[in-house]
Amino acid sequence: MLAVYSRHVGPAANLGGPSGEGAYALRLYVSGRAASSARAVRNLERIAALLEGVEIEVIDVRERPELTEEDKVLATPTLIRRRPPPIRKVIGDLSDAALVVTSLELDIARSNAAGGRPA
Amino acid sequence: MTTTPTPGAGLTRVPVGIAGFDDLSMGGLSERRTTVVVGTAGSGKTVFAVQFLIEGIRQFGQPGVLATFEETPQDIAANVAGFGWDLQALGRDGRLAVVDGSQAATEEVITIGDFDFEGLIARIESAVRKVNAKRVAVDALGALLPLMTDPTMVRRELRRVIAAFREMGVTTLLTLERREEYGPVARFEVEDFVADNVIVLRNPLHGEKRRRTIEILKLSGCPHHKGEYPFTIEPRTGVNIIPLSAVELSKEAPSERLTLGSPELDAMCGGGLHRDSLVLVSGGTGTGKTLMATHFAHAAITHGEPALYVSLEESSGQLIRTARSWGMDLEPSVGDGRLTILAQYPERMGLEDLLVQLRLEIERLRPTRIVIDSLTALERNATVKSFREFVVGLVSTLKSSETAGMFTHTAPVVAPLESVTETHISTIADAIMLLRYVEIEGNVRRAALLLKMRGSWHDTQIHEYHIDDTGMRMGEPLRGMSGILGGTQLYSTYTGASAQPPVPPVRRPADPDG
Repeated sequence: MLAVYSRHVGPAANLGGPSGEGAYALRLYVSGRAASSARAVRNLERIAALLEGVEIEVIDVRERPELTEEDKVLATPTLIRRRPPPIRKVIGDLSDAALVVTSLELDIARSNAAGGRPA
Repeated sequence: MTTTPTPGAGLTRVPVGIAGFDDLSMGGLSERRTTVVVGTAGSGKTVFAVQFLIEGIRQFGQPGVLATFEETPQDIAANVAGFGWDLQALGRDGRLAVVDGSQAATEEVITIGDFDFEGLIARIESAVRKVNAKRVAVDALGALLPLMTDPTMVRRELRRVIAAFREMGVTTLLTLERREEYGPVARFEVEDFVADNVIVLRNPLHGEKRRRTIEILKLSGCPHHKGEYPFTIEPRTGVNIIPLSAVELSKEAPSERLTLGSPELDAMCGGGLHRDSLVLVSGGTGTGKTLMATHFAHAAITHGEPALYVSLEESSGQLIRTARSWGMDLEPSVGDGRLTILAQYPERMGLEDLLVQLRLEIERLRPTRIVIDSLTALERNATVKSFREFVVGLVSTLKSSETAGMFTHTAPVVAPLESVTETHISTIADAIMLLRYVEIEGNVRRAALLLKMRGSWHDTQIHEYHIDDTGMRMGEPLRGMSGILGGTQLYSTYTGASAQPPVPPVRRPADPDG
């Protein structure tokens, strides 16, 4: 399930962008055999649900080493905000969703308030 | 593959190709294993790691991967270009692949929860496949350590990386920085438990000079030389380790004799020197040490053999002029390359560097004779330990290349023999020639004694000698005298003297009338 390349997740994927692109482009590098990677995917899915117009790629470092090289990824999981610029990076299993939102400056203000900021 | 500590049996070794290392390690690194190289900043870790790859490519046709975490690949390439290593060209030829992790040292990364270094492993694995690498050098992995919160994680991730290298089938060198030359191996104090192979590079201060050493702490339980060994980093060849334990002093002496350049001197030695002899000439200022050394070198070139004269007190111009005044014209031989004069200022150069340079010259010129004039100039600028290591190292090179050597030594005014033994050379030298001023009937004259000559009969009488425009002329034995070995203490007597030599030599001169 984790060996997924360029998988779009979340109900808001590919919505809201002016040219059909999401306002956010996030790329998550994972390692298929690690538990922390599996947790990161689940956590990111939860966060993405709160965002509008987000495009998410999940990339397994072993399947796409050339992309891994290009993005100079060392640790897995690594989450990269590729759009909007500038590029931002966090590493880890994303277990603190609030910190992910702050670190990557994701705007969830327009999300449903009932969804709230993830704890 | 077993993960229990192995006794070293059955492990294949990979010759590294770095000068001296394969002797020191008794065969090289363990194949398909990771060796951790620790050292302080500036201890030569990066050069060592890069050279591990370079020698693999050059000598063994093994492509390599360089992963760097502190310096950028561009910086490393620029830093090692001085050794003649062109990393970019090797990259273009497909013999070297580079994984750039250098942003780890500068980039601010926020850590949220647990992670591992599978990304890094995937990149290195991909690079290994790309060039079919057999060797991997990971430089400054420690730059990743600040990301890690606790020693457990450091240990886990180092194990993961090392296990991955083993699966890839590559032999790996991994450098880690430490803060002190001595003490805990590395920062988290867990690194050395993780690796079966640990090498320590040091660069401590000794008498205002840095003196590099290498020590193999462990090698998968394989036998290796233990302790610290000096090495240098040399402009053309990179890391050069000086293997002291490999010194083999008991080589069988060839029976062929070499002339000292004067029939009288040869006669004193029982027909000349053994081919790989080392002669120490000890005497006060102006007693003719350089003259004797010049005769020695000149004798080689008149026989059409190459000679190397290392002049540490005079320029080569001065040496040639003085030789001419003794009736020896060195210029044509310098011109046609038979004689090489290496004039050096020892203050500028560490002894390890000089030793490496001399070894390269000896290899290049294949001289039958070498002169070091004088050892005293070297001794002035070195600690006793590094001086002794220099002498032992040089002598081992001379013995193995069957080169005869003459070293001069300026004896202090008082107790000259003590000085010789102090520097431990007298035990290594095959022959010791003492040159002394003596006072006879109110005149200062010169006297020579062949104090020792290994493996041969020799003249044990003290001879007077003269210096004129034909050089050194050995005269008749000085009879009926004693006490003249005390150097310039000018202790002279006539026949029937009662005084003993103030400093007894290793072997007393024979009774003059006996």
